[in-house]
Amino acid sequence: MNNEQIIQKIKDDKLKPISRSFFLFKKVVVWFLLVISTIFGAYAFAFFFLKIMFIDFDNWYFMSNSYDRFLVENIPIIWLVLFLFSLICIYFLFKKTNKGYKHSVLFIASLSLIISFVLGMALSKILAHKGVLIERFENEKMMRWTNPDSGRLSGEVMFMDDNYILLRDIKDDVWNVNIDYILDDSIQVLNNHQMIYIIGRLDYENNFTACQILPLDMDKKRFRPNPKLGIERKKGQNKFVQDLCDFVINPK
Amino acid sequence: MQDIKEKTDNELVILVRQNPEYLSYIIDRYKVKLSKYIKRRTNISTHDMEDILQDIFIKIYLNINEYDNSLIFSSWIYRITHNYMIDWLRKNKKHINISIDDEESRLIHILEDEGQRLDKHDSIDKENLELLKKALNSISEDHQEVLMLKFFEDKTYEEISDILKISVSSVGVKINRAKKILKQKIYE
Repeated sequence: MNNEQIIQKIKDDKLKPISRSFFLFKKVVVWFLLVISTIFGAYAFAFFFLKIMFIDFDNWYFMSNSYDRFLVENIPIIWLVLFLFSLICIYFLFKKTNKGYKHSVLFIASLSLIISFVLGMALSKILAHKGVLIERFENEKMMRWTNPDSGRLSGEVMFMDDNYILLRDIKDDVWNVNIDYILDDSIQVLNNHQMIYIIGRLDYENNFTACQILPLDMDKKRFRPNPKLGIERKKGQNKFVQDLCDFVINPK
Repeated sequence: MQDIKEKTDNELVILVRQNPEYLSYIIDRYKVKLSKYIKRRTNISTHDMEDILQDIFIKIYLNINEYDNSLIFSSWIYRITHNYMIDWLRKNKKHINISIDDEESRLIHILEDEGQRLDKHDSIDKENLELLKKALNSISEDHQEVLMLKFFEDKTYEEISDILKISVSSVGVKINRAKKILKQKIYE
């Protein structure tokens, strides 16, 4: 191979080096995508974290007949998948940066996880502070607790008497709830809280018999009932709720 | 003329960016090294070799603005050659076939542990060199590549990391694994 041939070919074909700005642009694109993926990862983590915070792990037995099923139905898998997807993107984009290949898989994976986690936690605090998302998640939580066929109701106490209360649910329906059978701890909850969960039995439309009352840790100002909310009413009693109500209402 | 020949690679890169004529000095410096590297990777004809080298040097010229002087220039040039060869082998549906006729003595170092000479038990005589060559050709292309860069091109771990764009620790792991597999293949 003759050097001159190569030089001549370069001249004949009028070849020019690819401009620096092109390579700079490539670098900028990679870093831009990396930043976007990191923000997206943090956002996905924040959503995942906040949604997890609003799951009633302690009261799962009121919601489902099995814990596994409860987890499958409630864990925000889509946000977890999006978070993992963003971690994969961060990994590959980081590898594409100038010196990214110099770091081990473990280092990059840990770094992207830590950054997304820290940013995600910070973002979740900001979003929680702003209240918009919290209101949405609280509504979702109330919707999960508004299934009278399965023995669950939630909402704001509008009126309270010795034998019954009037409760407004998230769909703005007003319920007449019989509280004859509740125990002392439930009465204490009623005396101290306006926002509550009720476990009980559906008597007929908008009439419910309470077996147990739990406090709903929510700021009443954020409770905005909406008749347009589409809540799927699942048929079929929850076994635990059924047994509890049988025990409370008809003790043998 | 003498002055230009004494220039460093990085100084030459600056000159090539201004005038392609200076590429000739880079070609002079790396032509033999790269042709040996390519020859070791695949048994190709002299004609093919000339075409490949020409393409590689033109590619180097076209991408000269991508070169970042935090990298050793030879590592960058080997990286371009490595990537070109991967594409070439894929396009031509060929596999790496190590050709090491002229430097058999270097083979012995592959089986040595870091900073340790081979002991009697591990020593390998001329007859067994053939066995070693066969074993080298039977291991994965990834492993062949790191062994070649380490033992035939005398590259450091850092340089291999820059050429293959993998971490230094991965280079170490790959070399050790490749040596282990080679030993297994030879002594089994």
